[in-house]
Amino acid sequence: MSARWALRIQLFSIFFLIGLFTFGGGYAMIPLISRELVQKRRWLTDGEFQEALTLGSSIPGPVAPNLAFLCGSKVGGLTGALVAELGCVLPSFLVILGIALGLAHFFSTPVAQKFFLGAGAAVTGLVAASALRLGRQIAHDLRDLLLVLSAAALILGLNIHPLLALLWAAAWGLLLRRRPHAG
Amino acid sequence: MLVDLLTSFLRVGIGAYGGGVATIRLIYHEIVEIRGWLSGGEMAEIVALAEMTPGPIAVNAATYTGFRVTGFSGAALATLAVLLPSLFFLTLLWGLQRFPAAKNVVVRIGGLLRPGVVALIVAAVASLGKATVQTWVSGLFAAVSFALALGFRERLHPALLILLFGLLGMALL
Repeated sequence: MSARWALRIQLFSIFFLIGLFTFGGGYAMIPLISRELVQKRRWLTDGEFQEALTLGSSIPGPVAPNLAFLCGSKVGGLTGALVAELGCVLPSFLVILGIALGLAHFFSTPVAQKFFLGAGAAVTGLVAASALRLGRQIAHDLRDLLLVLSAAALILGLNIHPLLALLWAAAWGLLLRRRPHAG
Repeated sequence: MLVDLLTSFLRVGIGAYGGGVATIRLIYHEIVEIRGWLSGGEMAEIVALAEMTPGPIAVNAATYTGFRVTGFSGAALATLAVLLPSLFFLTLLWGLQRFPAAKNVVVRIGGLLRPGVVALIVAAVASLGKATVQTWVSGLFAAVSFALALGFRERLHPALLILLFGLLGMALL
């Protein structure tokens, strides 16, 4: 086996393991990816990792797979990128599929429904907390706040597509010619 | 049905700036409001499950929603579709790596879209709240989990919090 393939397999298994054992969304994976690739293996410098993180959260798509692609491409080119992305995504796909196949019939029982009522309420609270936290990060004055609230009102009140609300907020941000907040 | 699923999740993938939480309202709009394939309550169930299982929330939610709609084929298609826009941009950036200006443009656009992303999350709170807060007890659940998430930040794992309130729900709701 060539060294190139050994590297690809290593990339795949690093991201597969991180993907398999990180609960609570992609953001929880970021420090683990940094530990494996920057601290342990020194495949990337900390500066390169931070740049990949900024870039990965500036393009569409889930942040962790984006980061996997960007780090993978630094280590092993385009193939490395695809291998890392696949490793990152495959565990969630397989776990969800397993749950859907194995437990779906149980989810409709009254007991499970009560569980999901409680869990759903908690999710609402959690999402509200991230809205507040992210809002505080990007909204520095009344104008920012109005931008956020007007876009949310367009979605909720007029039921416009969320993609259009994204464009609405970006267009105003551009018109007001303010420096966008990166990172 | 599969074509609808593909176009829906491609649009979700295009708007999925900043990952999972931002995609909730996009998936809600596409699957609950436009297609009517799932109810708001089922959507909340999917988000809860996506938070409690390993992996990125957007991917988990796409896989599970796709499965609920048409089984295995839907799961595979929705997962691929939600990732395709990002793969397109990533490959494009990889091709443009000799032009550092391209990266700066991308980061600037990402910064411009950030207020809209927060708006998507705010709207998600309203839609999830409408579906999950039905009694004063579930309202209390949402309020307490909100306060705990703000108070403890990373020290309290979201998956654990959801599991705890799920168990409380079995006892109290």
